[in-house]
Amino acid sequence: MNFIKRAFLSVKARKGKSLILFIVFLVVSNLVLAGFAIQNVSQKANDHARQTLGVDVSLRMDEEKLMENVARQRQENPNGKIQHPELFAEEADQLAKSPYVIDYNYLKSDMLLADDYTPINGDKDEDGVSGAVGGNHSGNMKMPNTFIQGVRSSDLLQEFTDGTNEIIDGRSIASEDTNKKVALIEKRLAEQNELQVGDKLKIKSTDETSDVELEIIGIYKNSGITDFEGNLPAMMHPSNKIYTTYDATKVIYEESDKKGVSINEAIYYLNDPENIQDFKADAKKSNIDFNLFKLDAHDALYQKMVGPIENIAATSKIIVYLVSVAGSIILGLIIMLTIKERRKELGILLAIGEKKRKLIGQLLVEVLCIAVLAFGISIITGKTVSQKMGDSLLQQEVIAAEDQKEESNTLGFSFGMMNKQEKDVEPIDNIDVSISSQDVLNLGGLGLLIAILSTLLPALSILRLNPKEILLKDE
Amino acid sequence: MDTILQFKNLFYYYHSNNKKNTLLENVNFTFETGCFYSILGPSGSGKTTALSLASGLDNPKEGHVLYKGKDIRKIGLAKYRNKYVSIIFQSYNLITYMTALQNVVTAMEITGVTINDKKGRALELLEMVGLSEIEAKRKVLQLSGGQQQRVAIARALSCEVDLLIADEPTGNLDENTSDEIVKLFKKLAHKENKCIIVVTHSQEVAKQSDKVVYLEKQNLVCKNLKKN
Repeated sequence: MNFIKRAFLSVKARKGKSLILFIVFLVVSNLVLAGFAIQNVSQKANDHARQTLGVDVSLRMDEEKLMENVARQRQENPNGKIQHPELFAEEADQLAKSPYVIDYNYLKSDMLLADDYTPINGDKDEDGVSGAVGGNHSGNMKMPNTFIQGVRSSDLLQEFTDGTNEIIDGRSIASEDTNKKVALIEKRLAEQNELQVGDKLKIKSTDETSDVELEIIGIYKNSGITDFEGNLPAMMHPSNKIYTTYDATKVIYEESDKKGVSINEAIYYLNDPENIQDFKADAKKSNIDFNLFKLDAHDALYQKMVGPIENIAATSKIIVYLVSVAGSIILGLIIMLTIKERRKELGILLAIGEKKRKLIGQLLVEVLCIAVLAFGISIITGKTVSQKMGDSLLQQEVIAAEDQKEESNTLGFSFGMMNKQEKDVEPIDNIDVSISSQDVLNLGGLGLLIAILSTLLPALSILRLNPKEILLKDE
Repeated sequence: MDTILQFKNLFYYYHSNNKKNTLLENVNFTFETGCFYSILGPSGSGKTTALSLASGLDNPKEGHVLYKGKDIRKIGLAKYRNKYVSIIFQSYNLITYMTALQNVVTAMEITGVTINDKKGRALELLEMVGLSEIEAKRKVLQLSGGQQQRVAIARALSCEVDLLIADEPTGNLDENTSDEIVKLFKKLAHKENKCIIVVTHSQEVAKQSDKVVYLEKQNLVCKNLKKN
């Protein structure tokens, strides 16, 4: 094992060269470690985003594809009636049978008219508007003053799970209530009309051609109503939102002749966020037309949240590749020059009878002991470097994302009582980079590979060395 | 005395400007144990080539170099250099980042010398060639040319081989040290039954050797030299 001893002597004696190699290794290992750590953060951020956004996947109309479909219909038959694709509960039931689904909900919503009660701020509304509004409706239509939300289970709704709405009397709508004409009404609406659990209220369509009588099974309180919202006209007032079963809405929409119950949206709650992709893949096998409908696991929000981090993870991956390749080349060149400088020493050792593989072994040990030292130090410095690198890259990405958002921002308006199933999130704009034992192991593996490759390839020239040519030419 | 090294039908030539230059032509020569040889010859006559063939640094173009009757190519040149021969170069060829002592110990380790106290033996050999312990622990570049040559000799001696080949080993030494080294070679040949082959220009060294070999007309010719 004398070649190991020689290697240590050589490293100690060649302080300058050893220092250069050490610095190169330190830079390479810090950048590689930072790359690995940032990729880890990205994974954690993905998990965090999935947890924040929940495990719900929505099945609903793909607006973009619908527009394309409508445009195509208009082109093919300019005078024909536009066929609007519908999603039926019976179709959505297929996906609910997936082993990944632990619960599901159906949503169907519309703007309607109060019949035998007065909605909040209902007295401020105009009497009505005349004329045709919308594609299918014609004749006299009144301004709606009630927002009705048909559901399968009210407990699963975002506004009930996040505590904005709370049942204060009676009970919520459950899956057992399907086919029943039941309702949940807001406390203020109940108080204004002296309605209680067990009472009934009637709602009619805006053209007043159909109506439905609903039994109040629960009263909820909306704690999110502010003074501003309190002054909104009846149509937009959150207290005028009534929850019922998705099945009950069928009566109002005069859909009894249809083959099933159409819904706006189905929401599936999965057992694990990791199963989202598998669930989506399985869903494609159903007979739902995914040319018109889409499964959305808050994909846009998810992208918004983790987009910048995913970008920096991709950048850090490129950094790992580039640094590894560039580092290997630089180290290889340094080692090649070192071998050239040390030809005489190698010739002397060969003349004494040293084996060529031991000479290569000596060089390898020299490089490895410098590399190990650099890797060791990079474990200490790596966290700071990774954090600074991650912060800097993330900052750039967040700024880029904000610029993009500003460019694509369109003026929007949402009703206070509209479906709150959609959330809004901010992009993750800070990360806590930590070095895990897996990162260190990865660095060790890659570092070892870099050290071995950058030594062995130039060291192959040793195999061609001839001691006579080296030593006697110098005589 | 036994035959230790033999040049048999040995040819060595090289091509330069499409011209064949022959340095050694059909050389047949035998070196024996217990004998101190000096090889003399004008510059360019092929002394160094003969030395490199004898020490296993190169292969002959034709013919054989036999060590104790066995072709050194069959032994393997690296193994031959490692186990059976030691070489002393004119330009010392020491490892510069090591001390004198480390140079000697390294050679002992590479050649597999079985002595337990390698450091002690190395110090002994260095002392024998005239280097103190303090000098032995100096980096070789801190030593004079003469001292470095002595380290090279100590290194060759440390390998415990029967055949020692030297190229101008006393070229950089003063007269007294040179004399001591030559005496040491003689002692090694006569007392320890080793074969010492020295390539030299020095008539003084040649005079003290047992056999003087001249490189004449691409061949080795043994001649007697009148000794003092």
